[in-house]
Amino acid sequence: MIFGSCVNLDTSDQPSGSKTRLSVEFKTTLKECHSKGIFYGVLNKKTYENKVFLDREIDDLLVSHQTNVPENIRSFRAETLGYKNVLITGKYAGSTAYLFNVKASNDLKKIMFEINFIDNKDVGLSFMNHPFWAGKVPEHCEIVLIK
Amino acid sequence: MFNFLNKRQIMALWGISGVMVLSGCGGSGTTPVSVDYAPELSAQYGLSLIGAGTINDAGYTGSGIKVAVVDSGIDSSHLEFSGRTIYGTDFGGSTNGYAGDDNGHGTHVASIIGANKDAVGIRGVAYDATLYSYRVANDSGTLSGLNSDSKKATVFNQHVTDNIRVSNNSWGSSATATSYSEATLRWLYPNTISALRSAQQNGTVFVFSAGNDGKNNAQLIGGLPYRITELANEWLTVVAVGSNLQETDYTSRCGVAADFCVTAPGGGDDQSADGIYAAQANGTYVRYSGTSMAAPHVSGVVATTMQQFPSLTAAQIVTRVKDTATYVGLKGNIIGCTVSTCTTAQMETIFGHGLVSSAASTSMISSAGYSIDGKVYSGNNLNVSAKKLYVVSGLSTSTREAIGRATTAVFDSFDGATFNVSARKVFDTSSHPKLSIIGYNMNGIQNASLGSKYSFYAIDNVKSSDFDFYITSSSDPVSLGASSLWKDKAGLMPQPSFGVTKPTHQLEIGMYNDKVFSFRPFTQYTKTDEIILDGYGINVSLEPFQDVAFYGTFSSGTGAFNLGATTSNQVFRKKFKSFEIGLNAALSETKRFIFRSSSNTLENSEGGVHSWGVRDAVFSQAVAGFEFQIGKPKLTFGGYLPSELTSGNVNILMPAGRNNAGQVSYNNQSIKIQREPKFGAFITASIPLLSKDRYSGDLNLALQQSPYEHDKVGTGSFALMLKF
Repeated sequence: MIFGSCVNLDTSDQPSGSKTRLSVEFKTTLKECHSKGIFYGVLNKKTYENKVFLDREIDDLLVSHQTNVPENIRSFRAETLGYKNVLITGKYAGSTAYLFNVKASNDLKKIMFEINFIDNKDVGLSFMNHPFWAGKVPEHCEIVLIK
Repeated sequence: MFNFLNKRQIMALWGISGVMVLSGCGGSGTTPVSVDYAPELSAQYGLSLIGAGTINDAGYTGSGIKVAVVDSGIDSSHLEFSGRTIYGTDFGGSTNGYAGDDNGHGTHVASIIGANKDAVGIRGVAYDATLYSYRVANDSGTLSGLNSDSKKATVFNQHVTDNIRVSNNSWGSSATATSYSEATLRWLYPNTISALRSAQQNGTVFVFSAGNDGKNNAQLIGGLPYRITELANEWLTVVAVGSNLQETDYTSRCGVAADFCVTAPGGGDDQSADGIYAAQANGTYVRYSGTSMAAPHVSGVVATTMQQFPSLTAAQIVTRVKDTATYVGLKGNIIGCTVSTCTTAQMETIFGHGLVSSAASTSMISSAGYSIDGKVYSGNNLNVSAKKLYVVSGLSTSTREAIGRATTAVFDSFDGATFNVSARKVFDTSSHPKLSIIGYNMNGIQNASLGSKYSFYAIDNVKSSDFDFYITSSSDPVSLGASSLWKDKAGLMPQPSFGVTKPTHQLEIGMYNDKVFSFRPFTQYTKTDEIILDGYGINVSLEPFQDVAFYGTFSSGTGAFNLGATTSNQVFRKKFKSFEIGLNAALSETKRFIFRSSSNTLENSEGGVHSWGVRDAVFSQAVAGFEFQIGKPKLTFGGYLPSELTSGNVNILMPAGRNNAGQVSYNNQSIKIQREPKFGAFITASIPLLSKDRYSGDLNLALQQSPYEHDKVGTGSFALMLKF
C-alpha cells in the first residue's frame, strides 16, 4: 500500500462541467491499471461531491456514513494484496433519477475515471442519497479524475 | 360520550399534549401496544409524530389490508419481515426478484409501513398489513420497470389483479406537476393514466412522494392529479418534515397539488442524525431522509384507516386522512412561518392539508349517528352525541352496566364511518330508575291527573246479604289486585318504574267473607269507549287472630309498560302474572305492622331497534313498615325494595355495521338481568281534615330515601286531597 502518495481530489468548487486532470504520484507496477470489484452504492449523508477517496480516507468516510450495500463494503474493505481501494462520490441528490455513472479507461500506468451525472427527466427513487462508485485499483496506478 | 373532534379540536389536542385522543373505538382489552414493545416504537420517531401508537392501541394494525410497495424490492429475509409472506412481482428484471432488494430503498420504505412488532429494531405503522413488493428496479437500482408508459401501466394494472388497497410510491420524476400541460401528459402517459384510474376504481389509494428537489410544487408523477383531475380523489401526495416538524430543505412543497397533499415525517436534512430509522437490506438498519420516507407513513395510516372502516370507499378514506390532518406544530421555511403566523394559504402551499394523524383511524370527525331504520345515508340517524338512548327503567345497576358493556356500531355523520363502541356511549346506563311515591292513598279519590308517579286507588264496597262487591280502581294495574285488601295503605306498595299509569278497574266478589277467611275472585277491566277485560285473579285473606291478617293474591293482568329505547315513552301493553303475599297485623290499638311483597312475570317479547324486549323477565317489589295512629292522623315508617326486574333477559337490536351501500345490519343483544336488591327508607303520614266536624279530605305527606343514592332523599311529596 502506498500511503501519503496521493492528493485529495476535491474539486467541488470547480465549475460544473469543467474537465480537470489531476495527477497522483506514480509508482512502477507490473499490473495493468484495470479496476476490479466494482460496485455502486449510496451514502446516507452528504459528503464531498465528485471526489476520489483512497484507502484510509475511505475508512474515515465509512465510519461517519452508512451505505446501502454493507456486504459489498465489508468485502471491499478487506485488503487485497497489490491493490488500493478507491471510492468516488457523485452529487448529493434527492432522487436516483439523477444518474450517477463512472466510466474507467486505462493504460499501463494510470486509470482515468469519468463521472457522468445526468438528470434524465425519468423517474427515480425519492430519497436523499449521495451516490458513490467503489472498486480496487492496482496500487501503482495513477488515478486521474475527469469531471 | 365521544370525543367528536373537528379539525380545530384535533389541532388543539396536538398542541396540548401531542397525543391524540382515542374515541369511540374498542381496543383489544390487553396491554396497549404502545406500551408493549415501547422501545421499538420510540426507535422510529415518525411513529409517535403521527400517533401510530394510538392507532395500534385501538386495534388497527393494517390486518387484512394489501399494501403494494412500488420500489426497489423488499429484502424478505430481514428480521423485520420474519414470519411474513411477502407477495409481489418483479417488474425490474432483476436477478434476485421481488423478495430481494439490491438498493435497500424498498426495504426501508416497506419497513416504515409494515415492519414486525417484535421488540427488535422498529415496527411499522401498519405492522400486520399484507405487503406486496412490486419491484421496479433492476440490479443497479435503475427503475427499469417504470421507464415507459406501457411499463408503468403494467405495474398499475397488477394492482387490480392483486386487489391492492394501498399503493406506496416513493419514487418520481425530477420534473414538476406544472412541467407539462394536461394534453401533453395524456399524450405521454395514456396507458398509465388509464391503469391508475382502473386501480382506483377497484379500491386502490395511491400514495406518492412529493419529491426531494426543494421545489415549490410536487414532482410530476406525485402531482399528476393536478392536470389529470379524475385521479385526485383517491390520491395523496406527501411532503416531508423532520423530527422537529420543520419543513425540510430538500422536500418539494405541495404547491399546486395542495388539494391532495399531506405531510408526514420524512427525516431531517441531516439524515445520518435525523433521518428515519428503518430497515436496511442485508439485515441492518439505516437512517434515510426523503419524501420517500414520508409517503410510507401515510400509506400506513391509510391502511389502518381502511382496516377500521372497511365500508368506506377509497375516496372516503382519503378524505378522512386529509380532514384529520393538522397544521399544529408544523413550521415552514418561509421566515417564521407557523400555524399561528402563516396564512392558511401559505400553510396549504407548503403542507397541503397538514400532518397526518391517528385521528383518521380512531376519531369521529362529526357527530355519531345511531341508525334506526337500517340506512346510513338516506335514513334516520339519531345523534347520540347530543342525546343518549334510553334503557328500560327498573334494571339494577349491574344490569345497566352489563348493557353498557355490549358493543354497538355508530356512524360518523361526516362520512358514515363505522365505529364499534361500548353501548354505554349510546345508551343512558347511568340514570337511576324512576321512583314511585310511597304514601297513603285516599279512598274514593279517582284523579289520574295527580301525575304518573303517584298511584291512586279508589275502593267502593257494596254489601249484600250473601256477597260483598268491591269496585277498585288504580293507576297501577300490577298492585291493583290486592288493593281492596289494603285499602288506604294500598299506595304503600312501590310501583314498577317502567310501568305506565293507566286507570284500571277491578270488580271483586267477596265469598266466604267471614272474619277468618275470605275468598274474593275478581276481574279487571279498562274503560275507554268500551269496557275491555284485561285480567282476572283472586284475593285470599286469612285472619287467624284478632286483627292479624295474611293476604295472598294471584292475578293475571294486562298493563302498560314503557320499553322505549329511542323515545322516552314508548308504551306496550303486556300481560303479566302476579303473586303477592302480605301481613297486616295489629301490635296494639295504635300500632300496626305491615308487610307486602309481590313477584310478577312479564310476557315475553322481542326487542326491536326502537324498543326493548324481555324474556322470562320477573320483577318484584316489597315494603314493610310500622304504622302509628295518633288520634286521627296516621304515620307509617319503614323500608321498601323498589320494583325492579330481578331475573330473565332484556334484549334489543343494536347496529352491528354497514355495507358499502350504507345498509345497516343489526345484532340482537340479549343481556341477562342481574338481581341487586336495593333498600330505601320512607315515612308517610295521613292527616284527615275536618271542616265543621265533617270529613273533607286528607293531607297526605310522603318522604322517601332513594335506594340508589342512600345519602339523598329520592322523592318527596306533599299531597292535599280534599273530598267534597
